[in-house]
Amino acid sequence: MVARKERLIEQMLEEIHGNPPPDMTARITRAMHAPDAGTTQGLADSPALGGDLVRQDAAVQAPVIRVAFPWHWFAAAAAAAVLVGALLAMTFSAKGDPEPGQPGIAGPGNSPAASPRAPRPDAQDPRRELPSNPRENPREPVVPGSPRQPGANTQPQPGPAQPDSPPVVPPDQPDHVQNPPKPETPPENPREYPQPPAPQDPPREPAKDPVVGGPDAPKPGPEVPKQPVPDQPSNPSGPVVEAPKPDPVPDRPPTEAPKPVPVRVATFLYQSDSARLSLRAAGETSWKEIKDIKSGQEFLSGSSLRARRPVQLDLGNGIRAWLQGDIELGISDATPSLEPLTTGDAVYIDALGCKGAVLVRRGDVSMEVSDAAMMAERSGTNLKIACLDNEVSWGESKLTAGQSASLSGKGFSREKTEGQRLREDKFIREIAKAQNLWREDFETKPGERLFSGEVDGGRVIGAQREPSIGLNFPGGHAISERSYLRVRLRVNAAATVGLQLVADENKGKFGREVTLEADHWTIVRIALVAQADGEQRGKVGGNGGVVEKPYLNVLIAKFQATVKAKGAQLEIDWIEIGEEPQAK
Amino acid sequence: MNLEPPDPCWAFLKVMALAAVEKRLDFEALIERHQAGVWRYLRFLGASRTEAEDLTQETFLAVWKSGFEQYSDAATAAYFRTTARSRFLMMLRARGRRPKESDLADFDADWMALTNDGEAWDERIEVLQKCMGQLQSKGREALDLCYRQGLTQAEMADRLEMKPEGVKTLLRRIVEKLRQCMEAKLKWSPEKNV
Repeated sequence: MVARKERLIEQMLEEIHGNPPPDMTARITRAMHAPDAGTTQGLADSPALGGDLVRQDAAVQAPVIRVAFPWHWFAAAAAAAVLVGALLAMTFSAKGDPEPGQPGIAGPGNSPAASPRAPRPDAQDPRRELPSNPRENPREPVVPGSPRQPGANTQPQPGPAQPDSPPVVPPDQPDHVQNPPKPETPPENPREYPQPPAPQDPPREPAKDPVVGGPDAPKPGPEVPKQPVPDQPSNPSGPVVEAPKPDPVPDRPPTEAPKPVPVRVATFLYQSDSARLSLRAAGETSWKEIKDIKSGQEFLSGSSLRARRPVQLDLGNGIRAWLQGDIELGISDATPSLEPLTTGDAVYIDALGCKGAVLVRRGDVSMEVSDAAMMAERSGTNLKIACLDNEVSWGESKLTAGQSASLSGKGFSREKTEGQRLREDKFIREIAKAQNLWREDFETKPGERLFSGEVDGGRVIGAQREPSIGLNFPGGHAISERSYLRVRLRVNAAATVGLQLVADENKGKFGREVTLEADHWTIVRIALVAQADGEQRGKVGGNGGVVEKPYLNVLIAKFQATVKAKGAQLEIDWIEIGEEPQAK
Repeated sequence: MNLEPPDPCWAFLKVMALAAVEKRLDFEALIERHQAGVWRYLRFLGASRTEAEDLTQETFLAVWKSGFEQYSDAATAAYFRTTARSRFLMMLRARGRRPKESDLADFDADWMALTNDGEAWDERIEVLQKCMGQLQSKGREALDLCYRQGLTQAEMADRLEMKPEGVKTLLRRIVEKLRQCMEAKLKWSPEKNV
């Protein structure tokens, strides 16, 4: 008991400190009406319970219903229907020849109201799709092994259950009724009831039988009781059964929405060894492994990708995404979107310095990411968002670099400041490894490696001499054809900044000048070899020649930056040297 | 006699459809009223936050599928709890654990006793906040670091300039102190303490 009290206190402490229970009402009601019913097994195959159609009707008719048809009318109406049905059945059977509409009354009208517990198979409505569905019996246990209505000692359970029979019927009944209420259908029989959304099928079918079969068609006696069960097309009186067939078909097409045209969302760049990238095209259910994938292969909206190890995609506008697990690609207003599908699936998005944006989704919740580096990992029904660079926001809440939080429909919760620990995530580490990334964050002091400038609050501030900032690389970094340098920096007055990389053993240095606005963090990305080939600022050694291909594989030993304006101060947030991974 | 055979059928079907709609709306109201309680109960059983979310959803869907009928609020809450507990057990078993239902059986009684079937939750929270007011500033800071900022014990140790073991002990003592305070204020039976 002590332990449970303390557990309860810990729960309360969580709530007091800003972690209340999530509001799941919308989520559960959505799942109730979803065709595949979320995580709960078996709902998908249960129109008697899922019922998109019923849900739509509910939304439309709810206000009317509450006023015009309170619950207690139901029993009276059901009883009346049964009486009328019985009366009619007696009348018609006395006549011997069925009148139009008679079978319809005998079918759906009688069977549910008579006894939901022991429905006669032959009395069931033929359109009822779930004759053997366990939910037909509302007394079926919910969960194996769990008692029904456990409040047995607190409520009238077994006794009152019997009289409940009539109210128990409705959940089943309307579901085979739900197809009929199609809005635009004019009443088939306007004589009596100007019924609003006319339920066509049930009444119409029985009415047609006699029409099609015609009074001319001589019907042998035994066929009369069979008519309420027209679900057997093999009925010997073939023509009679075939006639109503066109009904359900023409009703369908108007309900189908036009399919969205798939558009390109991403192109493939790179996959790690044994990533085993698989694709599930839009509308399909099976995954197909993509063998011999080439850089530049396009992926369309609506498709999903499955990768066991990190895979890199180009989302356009310079935005790169890495993914692992099952990720669905989509597009919304020309903005690509990525949705991790199951727990543990993750995407890393690098949109730093890019103009475009990308959406990270989880169901109806989506977050736009622009000019930031972040990771989103599916965690249960939420997304764990980790901001690695710059900031991401949802509504008015923001996460800055080094912070993580859980994102749900209510926004961020459980915000944490994790700092560089975020980069220790296995997924992030694998990405860094694939990029052969070396990064200096200045979160910890680099010690003697920093030969110019001072570290303060996670950034280095330039000294008032040249170079303003200078840093030795530990071990050096070999330049490849796909190497790049990326720096985030700021000046307090508009100025030109020279960025230089110096090769090991003084084998050369090359650099580039960038002009920066005042007081504005800027990310500069330089493709190192491209610069060597095409830029006139590349220098080698002391001879001043343009850097060329031989410069490949040289080891970079230090980085230095110089402000070319007196009094201007330079700050650098981080420096990265890496290489674009190459598809094999 | 001018009989119109389809009409009674139509009326009957319409009433049925409307009744089903009514039932859905009622159930949605039930979800709104009970979902926080079910979630808290699952957490009390030992589910993590995300597990509790998933299980709460499954609980309501299972009840909805069962053709549930409401007798009274108390009975409904009890029914939800039992279904939730059953789902929780199924989850544990799916993970290869072998808990017995009896292991969790007395949780229900404790939950009822401690929270008055969840009805007194807000009141309990208020009492706990008063008890927190009696803590020393270091204790309150530790709670803030742990529950609001979500720091690990190692990180807390850095902030509080303590050893990680010391943080663990500190948190344990704080919770113990809060429990004693709650017992006194709410007349939770301390004699049951073992």
